[in-house]
Amino acid sequence: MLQLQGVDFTVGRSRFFDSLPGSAEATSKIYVKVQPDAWEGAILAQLDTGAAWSVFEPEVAEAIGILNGSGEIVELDTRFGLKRGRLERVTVTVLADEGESLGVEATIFVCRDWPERKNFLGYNGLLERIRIALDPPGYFFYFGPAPSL
Amino acid sequence: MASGILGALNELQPTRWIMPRPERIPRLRGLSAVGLFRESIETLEVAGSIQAQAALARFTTLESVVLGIRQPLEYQSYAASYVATAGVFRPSSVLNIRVADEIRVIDVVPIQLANEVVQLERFDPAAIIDLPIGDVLWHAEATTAWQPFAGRLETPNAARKTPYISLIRNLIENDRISQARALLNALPEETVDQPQLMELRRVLALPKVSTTKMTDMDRAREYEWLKSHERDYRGQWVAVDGDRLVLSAGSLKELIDELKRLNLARRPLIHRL
Repeated sequence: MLQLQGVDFTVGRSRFFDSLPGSAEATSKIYVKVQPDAWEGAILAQLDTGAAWSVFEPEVAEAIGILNGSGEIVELDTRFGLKRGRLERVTVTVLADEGESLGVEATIFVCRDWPERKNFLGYNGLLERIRIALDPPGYFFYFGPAPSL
Repeated sequence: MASGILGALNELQPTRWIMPRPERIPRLRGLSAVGLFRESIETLEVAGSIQAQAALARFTTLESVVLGIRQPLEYQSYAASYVATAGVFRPSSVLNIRVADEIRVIDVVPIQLANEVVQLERFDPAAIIDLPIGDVLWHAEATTAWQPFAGRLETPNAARKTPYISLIRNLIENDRISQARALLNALPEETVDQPQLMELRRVLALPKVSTTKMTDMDRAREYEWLKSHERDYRGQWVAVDGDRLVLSAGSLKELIDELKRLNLARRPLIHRL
């Protein structure tokens, strides 16, 4: 794993993918594996430090039981326009192929009319407490917990 | 001190229309005031929904910020156009709003709270006064006739406390998350047990991260399978293990239910093609 000044900077790594089969997205992005909540499966979500919040598409949100939650309703200005939804708390595991995975008690923005196939790992509520690094030629995504506050 | 300020403000009789002034330091009934007394009667840009529809008076002293509102009385829509925002054209109109002379004070916010967290000069008045916006009609075409605001904009109580929840929601919606968190941490003690504020604290808490020995595997083979079968299973949710399709289904719920039933030894990669 990666170290910074002799101390572990990351604890795990996984392969990332730069395109998503079935998606109309024409440009390269970073797609990493996560396991939402207590699923027994992994999905690919776009790593996006420019996204204010993490978002799962409605079917994923429904499958993890947060689509009809009671979280605070907010209206956010997103890349897909103004979207009304809720902020919900859920555990997301960033899965490692090597090393250790990270379990994150994260805050997700849940919106019923969010587009299909658009799952994002955003900054507030998730990435803000994770250290990350990329090895683009090797297609590796490194990650580790931020130091305790 | 607070009652002196309130008393002084209640005696103010400003003119009906006031042009925005950058600063003015008034002396009220012998009180020295340091800071800005600022009102803005704004010509408001409406884009799809009302963003702000009342004049907000703010009076800053050494100790506190007084929030007051002028009741909006009438509005006039005089232009209709389309505005490009983030590459999307949205219909908009321009409103003039005529407001009452009287400034009704709604709260006195301790300066420490206001200064630490909130840039009140840039506040969205709709967040402060929490007025419903549905009463203002959307005009597809411009009209110069003055239209009254509906009666239910009247607040029943003369004194209305600062709507902290609206303030925090406003901060969230403007992507000012660190300020929303700081405001939550600085709220008066008597607000601690309010259910909505407790929920906001919960969802705005920093993420908790822990390591786990659970690992996955390199999904290159699954990825190649997805690319190869993109057309065959378009629109379907699929679960793939290595170069083998485990399941496909029309909905994620069906897929997950079936996966649970199968109780697989290895976690598949789940994807919608």
